[in-house]
Formats: sequence, C-alpha cells, structure tokens
Amino acid sequence: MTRAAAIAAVAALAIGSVGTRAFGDPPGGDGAPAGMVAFFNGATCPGGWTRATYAEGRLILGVTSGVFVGVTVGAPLASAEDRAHAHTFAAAMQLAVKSISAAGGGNNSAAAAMAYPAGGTTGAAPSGLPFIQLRACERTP
Amino acid sequence: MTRSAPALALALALAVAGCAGSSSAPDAAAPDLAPLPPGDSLPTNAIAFFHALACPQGWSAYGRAAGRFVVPTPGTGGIADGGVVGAPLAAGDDPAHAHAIDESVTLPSTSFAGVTGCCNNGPAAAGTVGFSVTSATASTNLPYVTLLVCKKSAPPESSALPLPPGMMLFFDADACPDGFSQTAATEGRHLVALPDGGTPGATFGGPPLARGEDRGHSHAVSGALTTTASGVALASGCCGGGYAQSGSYPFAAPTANASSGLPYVHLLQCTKN
Repeated sequence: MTRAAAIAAVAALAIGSVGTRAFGDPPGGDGAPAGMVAFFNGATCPGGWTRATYAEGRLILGVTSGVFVGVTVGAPLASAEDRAHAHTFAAAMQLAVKSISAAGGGNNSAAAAMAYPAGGTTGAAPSGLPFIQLRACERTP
Repeated sequence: MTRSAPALALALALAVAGCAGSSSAPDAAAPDLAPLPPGDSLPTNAIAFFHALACPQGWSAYGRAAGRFVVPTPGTGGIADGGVVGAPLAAGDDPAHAHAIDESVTLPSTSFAGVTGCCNNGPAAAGTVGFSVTSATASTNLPYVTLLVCKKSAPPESSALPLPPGMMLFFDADACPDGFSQTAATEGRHLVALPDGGTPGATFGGPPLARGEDRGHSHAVSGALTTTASGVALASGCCGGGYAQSGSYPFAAPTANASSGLPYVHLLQCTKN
C-alpha cells in the first residue's frame, strides 16, 4: 500500500465515509460537505447530519492541521454549567518586634512578634465568560 | 489530553505507509487527501469547522482562528484586524492564570504599666500588617475539542443542493450573505456544543463580551490572623503603649481580576433563513 493510499483509506474511515463518495463531496440532502460541523438552532440535527457527540459539553478550538483534530481537554460541561475553579496561595503576616522593659510573665494581652501563616485557598469562582449552548451536528457522508 | 479518530487514524496511516518502505515523516498538511469535486453550496468567505483531516476542495485552512475559539462578533458591521484576543493555544493546552492577592489587618494597641525599651523582644508592635502575593496558577477547567477550521474561497456550486434552514455559519465578512441573517442570540458569547439532555439556546455565565474584551474574574478570599500571646510580667495600663493586642483579626478582600486566558477571534455568525 502506498503512503497516499494508506492515508486516504484510513482518513475515509476516520470521517465515516462510505460508498463511492469522495471526501469533501456534498452528500445528498443539502449542499454541505461531509465532515462539516455546524451549530443549529433547535434540539435535533437536520436530515443527513448527526450529533457531534465528541463535542457535546465542549467549546471548539480551531486548528489548521488535520493531525491535531479531535484533541480533547477537560471534562464536558453539564447543561448550562458555569464551571468554577479556585486557586491556592501561600502567605504569611509578619508582626514586628516592639521591645519592652519587662520580663516575660502572665499578662497575655500582647500579641507575639513572629510570622503567622496566612495561606489557603480562594473561593471558587467561574470564569466570568458568557456562553450559549447550541446543537452541534456533523454532516454525514 | 486525548485524541479521537482523525488524529489516531492519520498516525496509523503513516505507520502503515512507513512499513511499506515510504517516508514515515509526519505530514501535518496531509496533501494526499486533496478532496475531489464537485463543490458545495456554501457561500464564499464562509468559515466552518470540520471533523476531518483536510479542508474540502474550494476551502483552505483559516489561520486567524488557529488555536482560538470563535466568539460571534457583537453588533453589526465588520471588525478590523483587531478582532483577535489572547495568544493562540496549541492543541491540548489548558491555559492557566493566577491572581494577585493583597490582604491586611490592623492590630489595635495595648499598653502596660511599664516602659517600652530593652530587652524583652516578645511582644509585637501594633499597627497594620498584611501580605501581597500571587496565587498559584489554575485552569478555568473549560473543556474543548479541536476541529479543523477552514474558509471557503471558491464560489458556491450552483448545482449543489441548498443548505438546511437554521444552520449557523461564520463569515469573514462585514455582513451576512443573501439568505442568511445575523445570529443575535450568540453575539459576544462562547459557543458550547449542547450537552445530552440540555436546553438548546440556553445562555449562562457572564454578560456578552464587548468587541475585543478580555473578560476577567476574581475570587473571594477570607481568613484570619490569630495571634499567639506574648506574656509580660507587667499589669496592663499606663504608659508603655504601642503593643499589638493579641486576638483574631479577619481579612476578606477579593483577589485582583485576571483573564482566563482563552484566546478567541471574532467572526460574524449568520443563520440560514
């Protein structure tokens, strides 16, 4: 098998091509090319299109090389999920010394001069970005 | 990071070809996949995603959207070259960000029936103390999938069938072509593919982005400085003052704003009438 033939054959499998239609041919039903992914208003995909299940709950990042198609990052969002995150932080507060002419004793009204740890985790918050969820469909061959 | 069928398929194809004695060097552009005629009915300057290894005939890779999300342009009219925000991501990148945190507390003064001076260095001075740090980096945990983004350069094929109504397309143009109307509901919003069982068209998150806006967010921070007492062999009273009073002092100022670092490009989005 030549390299070109191998790539073409596996690519056809990858996009679900069947029959004699070549990649990029608009299939019957409408004039969109096979493999195209589009958003539609409504809950269902039109005839000749199938739900792009691999994209559900995800944003779509554009790439310009086929070898990077289909890479996923993160867990899909639930419906209308405004995902939150938090940050850890490390910090300390240093209380400076103020000397006194007295021995140590039983009056504990003064704070000790030292560094006090003050780190922790921030509250969880969403990104603040706005979203809309729409049906994503892929044109079938 | 995971990869689905096309990336794995191409890798398999290259491996097969390599076993046959041909070059096994990666071929990112996959030129051997040059698609065949006929064309399609999409208008010139349409921009679309493809779950495929290469753009169809009459289309070419759209570099302006490489490594970026597409946010439909808010408002009417075109957008200048400034329609991109942020640095593009590589496939699989999970952008992280951090926030500046500034907190402070004020410890009131207490005094002793003695004099300040040498040499018990146990007590602390009263006054305002705090810290200014940068948080650890974190991702916003927003999930994505990568798809090929292509721009139509060829004219629509007159013999091709019409496009389905309700189909949303991006355009590198100032106005929607005939037969399309600008999609008002999506302006200034990131597009999420509808999850199974979700409500189509539901909006969530913040208000729509203005053109070119790099939206920031902040986090609540809360804590307390709880001091350790420094015992002194003096009664409280006049006139050795200026010592920090032992106690617990809460702090609660939000972090500074920071962007989530999700790069995007504005494109006009139009819906087929």
